[in-house]
Order: sequence, then C-alpha cells, then structure tokens
Amino acid sequence: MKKIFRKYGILLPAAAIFWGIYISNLPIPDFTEINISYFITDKMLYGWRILWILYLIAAAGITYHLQNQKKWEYIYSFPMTKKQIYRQSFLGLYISMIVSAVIYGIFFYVQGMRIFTKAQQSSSVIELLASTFVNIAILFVWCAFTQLCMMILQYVWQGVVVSMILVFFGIPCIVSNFGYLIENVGHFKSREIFGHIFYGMDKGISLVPYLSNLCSNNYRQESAFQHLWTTHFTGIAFIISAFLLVLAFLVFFVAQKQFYRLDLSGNVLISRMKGKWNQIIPSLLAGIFAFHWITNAQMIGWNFQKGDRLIFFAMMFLRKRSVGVAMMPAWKICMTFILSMAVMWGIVWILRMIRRKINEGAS
Amino acid sequence: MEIKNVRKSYGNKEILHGVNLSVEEGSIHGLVGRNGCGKTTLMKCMTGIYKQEEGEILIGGQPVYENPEVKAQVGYVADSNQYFDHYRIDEMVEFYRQMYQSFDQQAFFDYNQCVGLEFSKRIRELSKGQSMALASMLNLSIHPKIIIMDEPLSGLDVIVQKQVKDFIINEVEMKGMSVLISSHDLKDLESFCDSISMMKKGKIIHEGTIDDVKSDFAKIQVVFSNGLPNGLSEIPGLVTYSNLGSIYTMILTGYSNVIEKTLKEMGASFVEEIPMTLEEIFIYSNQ
Repeated sequence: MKKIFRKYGILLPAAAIFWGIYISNLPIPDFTEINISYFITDKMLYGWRILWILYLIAAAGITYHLQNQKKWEYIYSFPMTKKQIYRQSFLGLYISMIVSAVIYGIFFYVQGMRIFTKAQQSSSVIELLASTFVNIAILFVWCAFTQLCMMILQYVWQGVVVSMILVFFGIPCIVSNFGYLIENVGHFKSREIFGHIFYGMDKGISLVPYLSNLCSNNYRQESAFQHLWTTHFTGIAFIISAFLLVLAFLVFFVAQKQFYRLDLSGNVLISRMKGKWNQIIPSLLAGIFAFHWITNAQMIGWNFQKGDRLIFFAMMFLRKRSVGVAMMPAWKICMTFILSMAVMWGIVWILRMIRRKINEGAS
Repeated sequence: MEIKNVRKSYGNKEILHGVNLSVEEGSIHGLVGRNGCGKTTLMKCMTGIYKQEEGEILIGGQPVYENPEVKAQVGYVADSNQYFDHYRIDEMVEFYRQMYQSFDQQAFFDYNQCVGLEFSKRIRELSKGQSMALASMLNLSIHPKIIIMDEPLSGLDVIVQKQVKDFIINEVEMKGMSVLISSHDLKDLESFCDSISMMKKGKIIHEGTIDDVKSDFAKIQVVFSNGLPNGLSEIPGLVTYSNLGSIYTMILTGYSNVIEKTLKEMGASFVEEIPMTLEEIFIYSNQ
C-alpha cells in the first residue's frame, strides 16, 4: 500500500528544500528599512504555507483514491481492516510532512539567526527555537484539520474548500480572538504570538514576538522587564507548541475514527449523521464561525468608529483583520453568540429542507 | 457462504431489499439479473467493501466486513480492470504475494503459461480482456475458499474464456473452492454452474439448481384446431402466449396436470411441454 502513494511523499521534502534554499539566499535587509524586513519575514512564513498547500494536494489525491474512485474500491476487499488500509496509505505522507517540517525548520532557524545577528538583537537561541516550534506545530494543526475535512466530508472538493476556509479564515479568526482574550486576562501581548506569528499578518512581524527588543510593547522597551518578557514569550511559545501538537494529534485521531466508520457507498455527510445531529453539528460549527466573524467585524467597526456596517464584514473577510471579542461588553457578546447560533440553526434547517425536497424529487 | 436478509442503501435509496442466498462449498453458483438490479452491490457487500445496513454475510460462520482473516480466504474479480495502472504485472504479483499469505506464485506462473501475459507490461498497457484474465489468475492463485467474480468473462476472447473456465473448474475440483459468478451470458452459465440465483430489483426471485429454477416455469405447445378459446388468459400462472396459426406457445408458472386437463377441456387437441433455456426463464421472469 505504501508504494501506491509513494509519489505523494516526494512533494513536501522537495518543496521544503527548494523554498529553504530560496529564503537562505534572500539578502538580509538593513533593519532601518522596515518594509524590507517585513518582506523577508513574510517570505519565510510562506514556506510553511507552501508545505501545507502541498499537503492539501497530496491528501486530496490519496483521499480521492481511497474514497471517491469507484475503480479503487476493490482495495477494501484485501485482507486488511480500513484502519490498516488508511494508515498504510497515509503513512508515507505523514513521514514526509514531518521530514519536510524539520528540513524547513532548519532553514527557517538558520535564516532567523542570520537576521537576528545582522539586526544585533539580544534574542536567545531558545527564543528562535520556540518560534520555529510554534510554526512546525501550527503546520501540523493545519494538516490535521485538512485531514479531518477530507475524511469527514469525503467528497474531495468539499474537503479542499472547507480546509481552505478553516486555514485562511476560520483558524486565524478564532486564534486571534483567543489571543485577545488571553491578552485582556493576562495583560500581555499574547495576540502577537497567536495572531501574527503564523500568518505574517500586519506585513510580516511574525518573528517580532521572539525578538523582544523589536516588539512595540511598552513593557518590553524597558530594560528592567526585558528578561521577564523574554521568559514569558519563550515559555508561552513552548506551551502553545505543545497545545497545538496535542490538538493536531487529537484532530488526526478524530479524522481516523471518522474514516473507519465511513461506508464508501454512503457518500454524503448529512445522510451519515443520524437524526438530530444532522441539525445540531452543522449549526454549532457554523454558529461558532459566524460568532467569531461577526464579533471581529463589530470590533473593527467599534474601533474605527464606523458602526456595524456590512462593509466591515466583507473587509474583515478579505483582509483577515481581527481585533477580538474580548473588548466587547459581556451582554453584547452573549447576544451575538445567541443570535449567531439562531441564524445558523435557521440556515441549516432551510438547507436540509431544500436537500430533502431535492431527494424526494429525485426518487 | 450464507447471506441472511441483507439490506443496503445508497443514501435514501434502498438497493438490496432483504437478500437471502447461500453458496455450497465446492459449488459454482451463478448470479444473474438485469443491469442495475443490485448484483455488483451485493458482491461488494460479500467481499467486505460495503457494509450492509441489515442482515448478515457469513463465510465459514464468520462475518466478512472488517475481518482480515475471512477476507484472506475470499478472492474478488471486479467487473472491470481493477488494478493500479502504473504497476507492472510482476509488481502486481509481488503485491498479491505480500497481501495474501496463501498466494501461490508457481500457480500464477502455471496459469500464465496458458494466457501468455508479459510480466514487464504495465496494467494500463493491457487490453480489457487481458486485465480481466490477470485479475482471475491472481485471485485464483491465492487458493481462496470462495471466489466472487463479477462478469469475469466479459471482454475475453473465446480461447481465454475457456482457459479461465478451466482454471476455475480445476480449482473447484482440486481445492474445493466455491465460486459465485455473475454474467449476462446465460447460455454460458447454464453449462457452467451447479446452482443459480436470479435477482430482480434488489431481491432474489429464484434460487436453486438450474433444474429447480427451470421447474418453476413451463413452456407448452398447444394446438387449438377450432381457434382460440374464450378464457385462455384466465388460466392460472399464464405469463404470456403467442401463436403461429393454430399452434399456441404458452409460458406458465406452476404447470400441472390440472392445467393440462383444463386446456383439453377448452378444446386443445394437442398439449406438449417443451424444454426451456435459462435465457428464456430470465426474460419471462423479468416481464
């Protein structure tokens, strides 16, 4: 089985080496030219994104063969359980993902060190290592969610669309809000770690949280607090890495479990879930996303004194800007949450009714 | 193999409506039915590809689905080329060798001496007939307890058809293998199978030996010298009739001496039962 999908395993390490060489050859800017430094850190982050996109392509290819291609169904007649077939088919891709993450991580770390050295930063090796680990961990999380989308939705194109929405909009939105919440509770700039590091938002200050001298946080400008913030950032970065890794493994585990339960002939998500879960699960998931999206958009409006105009919803979506829910009054948060859930419940109900009518018409 | 009350749906559409079937050890059982009646779905359930919603599929008393030990004793030849296009034949042999402990490489070489496939060829380079022959040879080489073959003879030339049938018969005789085979070539099945099942709209409508199935129908020739009598269409079990002059050919279910007597009372001067082919039974069953 491993050999069948061997070609998919070549993609990621090759891309990691290629992009690693590319970033290594980028000229390190003078840090007074701040735009150029944004440029270079963004390029470094794109590497992780490229690895994820290639994983998405490879996972879609394998999933297509395992689940959607009638011609290949016969492999389930071989003397193996679905679990064994699944594991053996994806094993090569998993290994290549880990290998490529390590390869690119080395390039990322080395280039980061070169940047820090040129910028004459006092950042420690541990800080940069933490930054690299967080990026590796988030890559695993992306891949895990991709896997989950592929496995649960089963139709490959649906999996691709949902994972792209998750990775480019859903996860940043939730992570950013989460970061703000911690920031308000813990009184330090966790959003920089949560929100900026993976996405190169705000034009690539992703490495900044680990370069405490460069960080705009006032506390960190004072040398008396320097060691404190360095410890904070490093510590929390490792905790986040560990948390994300656990999350990634959990999601992989759920994806696998879901896959074993699938019947190849029952190809539609909604028909696989029974009874009330058909309504509850999609409503809940859509409601959570809607809540985060709306609260972000509302906060942009609130921050910029523009009101809750529809244009900000679109703006938020397009620019991936998020300012967090934690700054809203509690009653407004609750109302928004209830409203999001209610609206999504209604939308899912209507979609299910349309689907039912179509099915009745077809039969 | 025993199949008890198996139900299977695709989404909301039920394909198999409580199928019951049994295949005796060391026998060749034919499965016939019109396109879309559920034969392939039933076979995919039997091989553990699909899970039935209700009922049981047992081989040697063990369920098939998600049971590698049982699946190792089941061969499956799909209705079209089923192998990985980029594999060479020798790689496919190696794949089977790794997958099935019981795979007998020598048996494969022996079979291939008759068929003559080049080992260096890739699967995509094979014709439909060659790839079907390859699937049959590979699956027979694992010496399965039961082999499930979905139209394995389609696309094969007459010589290879005969060779594959000989391989199957040899395996049945030597190893006591059971065979479940579907085909649209009913003449072929009639001469090849010990027993047969006929499917219609997801149900088995006839099952048994060929003679049993044939005994369910009767084809009789009747001569009405004085023209068609009234009330002929009310004869119990009449499926259809046609005539050529005064000679009427009637297809009946449950033909007996009582019906013969009734026909004679209606003015039949001559009544004779004539043998039916499986093809005719199939056609009339589906009317």
